[in-house]
Amino acid sequence: MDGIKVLLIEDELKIAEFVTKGLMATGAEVTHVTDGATGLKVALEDAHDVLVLDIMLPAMNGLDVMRELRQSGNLRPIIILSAKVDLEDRLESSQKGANDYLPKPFYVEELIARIKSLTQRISSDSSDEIVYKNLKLDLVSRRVDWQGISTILSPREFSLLGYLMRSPGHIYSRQQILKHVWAIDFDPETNVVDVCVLRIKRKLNRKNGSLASPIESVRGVGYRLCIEELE
Amino acid sequence: MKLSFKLVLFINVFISAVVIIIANRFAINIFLPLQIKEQLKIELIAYVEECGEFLPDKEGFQSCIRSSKKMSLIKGFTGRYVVCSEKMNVVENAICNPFFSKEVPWSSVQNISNKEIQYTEIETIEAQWMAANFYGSTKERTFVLLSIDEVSLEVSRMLRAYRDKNTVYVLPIILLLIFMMTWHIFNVAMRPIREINKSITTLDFKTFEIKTALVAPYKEFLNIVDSFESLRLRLIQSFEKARRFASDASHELRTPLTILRGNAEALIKDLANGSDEQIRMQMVVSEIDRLVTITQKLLWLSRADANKLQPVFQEINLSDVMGQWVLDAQTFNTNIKVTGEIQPKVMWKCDPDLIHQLIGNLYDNAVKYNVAKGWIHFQLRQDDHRFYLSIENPSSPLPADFEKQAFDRFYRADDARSRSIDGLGLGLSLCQEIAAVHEARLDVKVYDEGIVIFTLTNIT
Repeated sequence: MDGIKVLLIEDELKIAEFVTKGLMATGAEVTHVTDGATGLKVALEDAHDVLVLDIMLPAMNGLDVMRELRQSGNLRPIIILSAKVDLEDRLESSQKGANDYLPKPFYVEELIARIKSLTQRISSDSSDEIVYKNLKLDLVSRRVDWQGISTILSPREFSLLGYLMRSPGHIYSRQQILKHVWAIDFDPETNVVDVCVLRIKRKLNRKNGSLASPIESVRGVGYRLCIEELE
Repeated sequence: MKLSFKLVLFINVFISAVVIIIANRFAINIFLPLQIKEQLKIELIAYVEECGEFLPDKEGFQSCIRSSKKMSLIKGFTGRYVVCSEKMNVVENAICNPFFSKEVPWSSVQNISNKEIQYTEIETIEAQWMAANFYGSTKERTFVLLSIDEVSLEVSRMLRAYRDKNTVYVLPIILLLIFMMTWHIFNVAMRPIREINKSITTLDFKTFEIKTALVAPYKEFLNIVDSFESLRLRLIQSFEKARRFASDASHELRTPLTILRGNAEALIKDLANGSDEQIRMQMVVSEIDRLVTITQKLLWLSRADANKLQPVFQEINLSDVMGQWVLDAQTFNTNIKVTGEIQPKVMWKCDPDLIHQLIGNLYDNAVKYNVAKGWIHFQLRQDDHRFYLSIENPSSPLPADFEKQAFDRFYRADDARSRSIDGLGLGLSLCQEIAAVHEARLDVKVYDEGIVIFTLTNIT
């Protein structure tokens, strides 16, 4: 996300702090504002690539900020952060022009992934491929190409690998993976994630017999896309 | 089995009517002889007045009465008259004797120039008599006796005979009338109850709203209606408070949870991969995630209570969804044998996310309360437009009230055990709310040997 300019409007300083830190770690430039009115002013004056907006704000409500912006012809992507998770709030946000909606509590990594997807959606074509260095995923055929190996993954395997590729190097916990890939938010007392990762590794190792793998397990924490292996 | 109030009311009114009729008959039996006696007195005096001239000639007296224009009760009993005369030496009947005594309390009834009529009643050992004394122009004492008992008995017997003869025809009609009256009274009495009932049954147990306004039909019902209404309003208030509390709490918790998780996430990133500190921090994140799930469930439930659990309907192939669940479940836990029996092409219009949540909760439950080396069996079958989705598993012994209380909020089958297991007893309650917004039904049945089956049916 090098050079991406993010305007963060969030009154809760403690939240703003780690969000800013997380975003800056990816190379983004973050401007943080704590109230709606100032936020609107900054948003109108400066050119940001993406706006991350809280709804409950002093001086001016986040939804009003968004409406004003859209009315003034500003079409930059907006991601709403909100403690409200009701369907109406979600619908209202999207009606008023939000591009995405992230309920609190959220993972910063998730926010980064959404920002990426939004900025890329605008800057490049919506391709059927996810590519990171020499790892290539074909979204249509579920084919993976890596180091000369080409294999087809099962839907779960493919989804898991794709999830890790959203943020190469970032460690995703088993719960996060379970929630994203299997859509379950309880702990099924299972090692299904490990089994699935193992299967991906086997499929990508089958031919050349090397132990190298694009997925690295981090003891006691989870899995990440191993950026070093992909160099 | 409760008795029908209808029936009780009906029987009571009917019995009362019958009792009234019987009481009436008894009353007649008491008062009829008195009335007859009174009538006899009047008639005796009237005949003596009209035909007294013939006395003491009994034949003449009787034929005079017979030819009299007056209609009367005792005309037919003229043969029963005993005529006594002072002048006649031979007294016709020994009964006359007591009447000649000075102590007889004669009372004068009529006193016209040439005749005087007196009347008295006397009781002898044999019977009760009434007597009319007649002083004609000769001023000779002659009197006529009539046995009250004999005649009144005879008369009342006759009257009763007529009445009984009538009863055969009249009784069915009377009964029918009683029946109709009872029916009418019953309907009148039931009407206000029916009205109140009609209104109360429209009570929505979730919102406590009443569709048909509850109005007291009569003043006697004002108290009941008022009490019910204030109870209902109190319920609405406290329910709303509780709901809002759950909703506010889960909203309020979001900010601190976000901060906790955000910082923990940042720390994990900073710490050396695989270090103990990182692992420990990951444990913190796991616990935060659990808290997030609990607040999420609380929020969903409070939304369901406010009728705000708005599903986004979409036609899905339930068979595919269940097939995937069986496949996933088979890989989730190798200690539990998962089998499936899924009828293909079962379509359902539902909110896929909510249904996923529902099945997930049921599956989660089936895993957590399973026995060692246990199993889970998924089944989906359809007949006509009705499908049955069931999840079956053996369970450790469950309390007897499990079937009734399984869906109660915060209910836990086994306190000691469930405390070690995740959750607050919100999952099943949420499942039922999700079923409800789909107009589906979720039931639980516990069979012998502790087999538990949860079944979802698309019919309420």
